[in-house]
Amino acid sequence: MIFSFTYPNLPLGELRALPDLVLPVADGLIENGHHVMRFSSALWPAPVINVLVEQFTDDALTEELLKARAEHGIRFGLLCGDDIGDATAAEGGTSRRGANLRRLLPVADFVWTVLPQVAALEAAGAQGSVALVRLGFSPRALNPDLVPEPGLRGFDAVLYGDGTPYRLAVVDELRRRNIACFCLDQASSPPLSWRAMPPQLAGDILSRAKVVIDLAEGPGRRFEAPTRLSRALHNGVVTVSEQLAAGAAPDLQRYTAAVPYAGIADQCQRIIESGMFAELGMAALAKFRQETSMRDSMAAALRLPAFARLAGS
Amino acid sequence: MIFNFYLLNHHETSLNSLGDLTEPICHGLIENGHRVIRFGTELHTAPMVNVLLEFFIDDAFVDHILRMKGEYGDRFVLGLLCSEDPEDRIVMDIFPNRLPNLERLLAVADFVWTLLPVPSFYERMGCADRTAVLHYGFSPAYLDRDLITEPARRDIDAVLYGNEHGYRAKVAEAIRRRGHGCFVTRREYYPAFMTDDLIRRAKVLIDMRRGPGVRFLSPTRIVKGLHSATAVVSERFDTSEIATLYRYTTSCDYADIAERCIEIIRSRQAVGLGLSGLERFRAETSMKASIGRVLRLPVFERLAATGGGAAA
Repeated sequence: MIFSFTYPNLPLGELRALPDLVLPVADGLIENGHHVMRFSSALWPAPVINVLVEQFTDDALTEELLKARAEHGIRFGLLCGDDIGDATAAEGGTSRRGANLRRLLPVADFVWTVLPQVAALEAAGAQGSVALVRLGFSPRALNPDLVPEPGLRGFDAVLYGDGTPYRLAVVDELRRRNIACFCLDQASSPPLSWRAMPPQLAGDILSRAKVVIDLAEGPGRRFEAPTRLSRALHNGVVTVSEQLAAGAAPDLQRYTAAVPYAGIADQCQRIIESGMFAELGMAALAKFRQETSMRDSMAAALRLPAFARLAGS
Repeated sequence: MIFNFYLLNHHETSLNSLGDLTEPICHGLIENGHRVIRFGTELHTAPMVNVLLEFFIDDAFVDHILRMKGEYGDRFVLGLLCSEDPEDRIVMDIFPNRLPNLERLLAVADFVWTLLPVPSFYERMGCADRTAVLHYGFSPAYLDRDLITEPARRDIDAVLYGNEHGYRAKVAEAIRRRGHGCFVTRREYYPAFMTDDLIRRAKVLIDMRRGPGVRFLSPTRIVKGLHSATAVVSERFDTSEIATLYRYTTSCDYADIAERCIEIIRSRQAVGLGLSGLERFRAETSMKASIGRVLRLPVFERLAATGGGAAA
């Protein structure tokens, strides 16, 4: 099959944040023998299958997509990287994002989500067409220049994500303990957002970290952040992750040193002071490589009934 | 040796486009058995070798480097990577302190790698013996891993690499007027994974200078296209030693670029041209060998003699 990723609904400034979400999926499709266009500036007619990243805040664009589907038989699927509970609840339930998503779900050929929210997406209108894409190991995403030598891990801790107050409180605590914490955030010094980082540069920083910190933007996170965790794992770095609430099913957190929020700074300090950080990071990668596969994940996602139809027509 | 590419003198919006410049060099260093820090955020003393990509518009930062050099001497190895023509006033004068700061650093740099051969400038600066022209060559690690060999899958007609200034816009418009697509990369907006994908799928990659005053071709643009097995149509104007890169492209005068692109797009020979350009480039050049050559500058002999570290 031929897949085309297109992003007409995303503002230009958002495009740079896409690699962590789009590239693993594209890699998995390629590993399954499909042809992937990682960027098209327009929707393609059949037999090409268009993939759009969920974030439809523009009513007119949503209308266009629905019209293209109805009048021209355009095939499309949605790739959801965010918690749709947030999307639909945003701005007191008045967000157009949630409303437009609910309009698109019933007509999309398929919906892939990297977060475990299949039931919610089905209930919102995509009955029978949703698959969970579990991010897994891909040789294509592996940093070819891993850093197994502890002496070359020049960063104590790296915060991968925007510097929200909830996250920066941990950074402050680490710094109070004389643990240097490098933040990939535009408000930090130097002002470098993870969003602006090409994957090879982000990978370079992550691979040279003793620990990477994975925190939710704020309290009450429902899901782990598989895109961040996968990126860190492919760079052979141990991630100190905020443990999910009781009852939530961890997936990639199994490969991290997850602890409750209050224990993050202690956990980082323990790992750094142990001197075992490089070994732990490489071991996490080895386990991740052994137990997961992006190829298999995408093969599973391609078992949705829609693909039998799309491939056959 | 460990090469530390310090990039913090560049604004974060530029990082996206630096990969085409630094990645081939990083690969060449790794192929020569060295380690590379692709995104250094600190300057280091020896045995680390610092490589700073020229764009010094912050006087205080330059003062800091000079202080470090003064304090540590040979124990602070300072290399400069120059990708622009320092005698191109249009580029250098955008920031009035850019050239003066470069000149201050050239006086103390242990080595200078320049993509563009401007020997008179480096002689005038008194650093010719510390300067080497870095010729880009083929690197297996830089090769696009999803090369497209089926003509039907080259769905993009033309990609114009760079920003759509007036001089370039005329060519893009001429191609569009004839009914073909021409995508302009606008590296400040589109992340590399998108533009790389377009180049990979293009029938033709257009390599043009910014305007008639420019003296040198762009090795990074041409080499990007070649590593994607995409036919490169180059504006022919450069007569310097790096004009050897035209051997792997279809080169022509400015006035003929649009027509030449359209011929290739319509001929259905684009994939063959791209693949033959790549094969010739692969056979005749090597990034590993190029880096090997620029590592023969005196400072590296000194570093090698001291076991990778500078004089203690």
